[in-house]
Amino acid sequence: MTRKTSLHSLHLLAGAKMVDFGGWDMPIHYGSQLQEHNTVRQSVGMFDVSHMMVLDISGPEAEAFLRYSLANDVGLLRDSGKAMYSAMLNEAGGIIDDVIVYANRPDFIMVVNCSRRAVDLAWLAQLVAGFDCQIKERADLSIIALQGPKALQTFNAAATEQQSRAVAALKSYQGCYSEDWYLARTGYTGERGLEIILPHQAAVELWQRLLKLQVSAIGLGARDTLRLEAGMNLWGNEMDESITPLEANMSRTVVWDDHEFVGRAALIEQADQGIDRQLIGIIMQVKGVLRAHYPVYEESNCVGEITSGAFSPTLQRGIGMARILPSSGPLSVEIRGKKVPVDQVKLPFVRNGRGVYSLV
Amino acid sequence: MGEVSTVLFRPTGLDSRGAIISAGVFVTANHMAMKKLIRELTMAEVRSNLKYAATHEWIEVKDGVATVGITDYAQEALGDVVFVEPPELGQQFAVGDEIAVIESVKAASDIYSPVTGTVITVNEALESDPELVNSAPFDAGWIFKLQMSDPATPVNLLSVEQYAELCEAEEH
Repeated sequence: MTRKTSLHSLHLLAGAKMVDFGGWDMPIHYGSQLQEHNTVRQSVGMFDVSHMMVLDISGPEAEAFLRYSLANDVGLLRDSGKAMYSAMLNEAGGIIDDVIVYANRPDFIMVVNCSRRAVDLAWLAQLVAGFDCQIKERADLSIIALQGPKALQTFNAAATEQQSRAVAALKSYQGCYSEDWYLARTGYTGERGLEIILPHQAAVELWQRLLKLQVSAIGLGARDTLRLEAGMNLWGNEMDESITPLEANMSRTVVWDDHEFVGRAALIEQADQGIDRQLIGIIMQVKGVLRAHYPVYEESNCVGEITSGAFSPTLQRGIGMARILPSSGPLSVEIRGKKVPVDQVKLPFVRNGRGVYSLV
Repeated sequence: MGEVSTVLFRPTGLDSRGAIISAGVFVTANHMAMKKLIRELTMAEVRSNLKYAATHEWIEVKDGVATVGITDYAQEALGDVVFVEPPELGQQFAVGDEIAVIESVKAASDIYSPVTGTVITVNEALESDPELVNSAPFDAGWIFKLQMSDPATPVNLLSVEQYAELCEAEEH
């Protein structure tokens, strides 16, 4: 049975093209994926991301539990509501999921991928035994992401005075409660913006208020090209249970010292021995499109493959991420039997509407 | 490039962003009815002065030259076109040969030559504006022209009625 978010009928009314996404019937676009992408880069757009799972992690040992469960260290979150991106690892250091945690001590909110819901729940249930801590799935909540340079002023036009004041007090990568809404300055686009976690009925009302303000709805298609331009990983493409954070360009999100966590020993061993594959950014030198699973070559040697690829609407070129053996020579990608040269770049490709990448 | 003589769809109920105008009246409709309505509203345009291939190319034949593009139905299915790889001028192709590639946000799709002939022109406007394939598939979004080896219109191509039936069948 396909699951539907609280905003499902509004997507149908808007003429969205719907697709199955991790068991959910979700909008891939509402007419033009390219236009939606550019709208977020240039102005503001809203995303229904209610398919993601929200977990309340509460109890006296909630913090200790998360410090043990995640490779990043939530103990480092000082300000109230501060958000942290982390991998959740298995014993071998493979990535079970990537998550966002908001610290509202003594409790935490954790948001995880919809496609990993069942696996995450089973894994967390096993880990939590022995901690004085409760995990509660919040199926009563929706999530609306409002992203783009005009996101905050747009939110103010749709929000109560109290909600606006709450958002004005937030720094980037920080969230707070405003009554039963959780407002956070986070996102998956590389733009300023908010992710708003709120009850289903409130989500329908907010979405309709934003529609009246002429805010464009953005589908999962543009969400994917926005996150790729922003250099952000996607579980299932850049990460899976056989890939460690060191092989997924996520070393900066691993905190080795001062906390024991699942997968730590395996990561230390791998770091000592040296990694034999790395995740890099690549960009085409000529017009064209890169796509996942295209093979990547150094001279005549196949050194890996593309994990995510697309046409970048902002840069007007094919971009991608690729997992390859350590290599130093010029790279090329095989597109329909032809080898096409690509440049290796330092991620991200795009931040705040502009290309920011540098060639490696 | 000829008149629109058969319109299966007229988007009077859609605004510029593709949203249904005055959608509020449909709020209480059940989902199946709503899906059917949306499907009907978004049916593709076809033109009676053109011939069609089952692989969704359209062909206009004039003085032994075939102009080729992809249909409105095809561009709708592909989504936003971001890159067109045209054939090389002077190259010869037989019916059914892979002749060009259209890259959309969704996938790369081969274009097959609907006739046998030699490439004499490609649409250079698509280099900077590949989205013309979406916005004007039968007009400014044409892709290439072939000098046909046999100037008689090939018999294996579909009429507008046959092509409309094919699209209808693919919808179900």
